[in-house]
Amino acid sequence: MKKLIACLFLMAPMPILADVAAVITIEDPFARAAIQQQRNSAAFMKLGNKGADAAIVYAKSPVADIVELHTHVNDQGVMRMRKIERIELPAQQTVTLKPGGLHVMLLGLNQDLKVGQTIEVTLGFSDSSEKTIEVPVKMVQRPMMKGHGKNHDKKQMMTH
Amino acid sequence: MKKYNHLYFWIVVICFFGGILLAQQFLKQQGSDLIPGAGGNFTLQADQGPVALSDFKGKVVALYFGYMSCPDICPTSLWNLSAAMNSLTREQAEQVQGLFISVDPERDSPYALNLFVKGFFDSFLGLTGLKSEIDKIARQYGVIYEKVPLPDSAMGYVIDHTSVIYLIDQQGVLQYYLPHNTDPESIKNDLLKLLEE
Ligand SMILES: [Cu+2]
Repeated sequence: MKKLIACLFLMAPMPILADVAAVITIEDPFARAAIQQQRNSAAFMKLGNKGADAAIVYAKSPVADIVELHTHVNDQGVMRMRKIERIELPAQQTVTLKPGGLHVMLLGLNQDLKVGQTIEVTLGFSDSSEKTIEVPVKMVQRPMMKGHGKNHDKKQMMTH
Repeated sequence: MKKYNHLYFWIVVICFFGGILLAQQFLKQQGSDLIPGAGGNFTLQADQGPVALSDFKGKVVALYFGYMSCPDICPTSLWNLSAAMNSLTREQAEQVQGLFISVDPERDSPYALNLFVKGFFDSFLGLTGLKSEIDKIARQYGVIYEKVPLPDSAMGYVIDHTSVIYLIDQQGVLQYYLPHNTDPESIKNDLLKLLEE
């Protein structure tokens, strides 16, 4: 009987253990525009994890020959880009892939990535579940204060 | 004779303090990160043939060191610079020359570089050369770059590098050092300061 109760306790969390893909939320994905001889690009996004500890362990995309997980380290002004095996997604936390930091690296683009276009990126998680997302292509730059484009940054606007 | 000794003494004193004042002025202008005496002329290969910094006497030059396989750091810097250029009047923009020096001559040909930089701004030029030439210019400008093999990556190797936009005045003298991710508005303001001089 004791064993059975123990078993029930151990099993209790099981039903909430859905696929990692089902508990990961993705916000503001974007890929950097790549034009004219640029054969590499990167995709960025905000990842929320509503479940237990997880990780992205691979990624793929039909627009790139190879997709890797990378990070950038700013070592006293020297930018060092490195491949990493996984992007950790701790339980109940948000992880942001952003320019100058963690990114999904798109290598060997088989087409130009133009602003306004959308590309498909598939993320593979630590439990081998997958999630495919539509990623809009954007021009990535610091916003201008007067901002002719869509990039209106409040903090920047107020200093003027 | 005594009179002359006095004269020499005062000349020395005036030169000494005058020198200090000038040096202070000079350093103030440059900002804290700029190595005094950094910069200087160079010649490299563009798709159109050899290009020297001195070819642009009379113009302001915005200089950046990077490489084309860089997915993020270099394009961001070039977009920031092109946004600043686009916010100038056409007359002002014509007085500014953007130069991109590739520190990856193995992968980046002058031909490819030319197409690459023109994707950011029409008048930008892409330059590269022998590693020994690039090394010398990097030392002149205080650029740190290093080829690092990444055997586990399809990239094969990456080039770690500093990400700085250098602004050079109409006389070819290095004036501003803009650290990575300086926003276009600040770049524009520094360009205008040099254009108005
Ligand atoms: Cu990368």
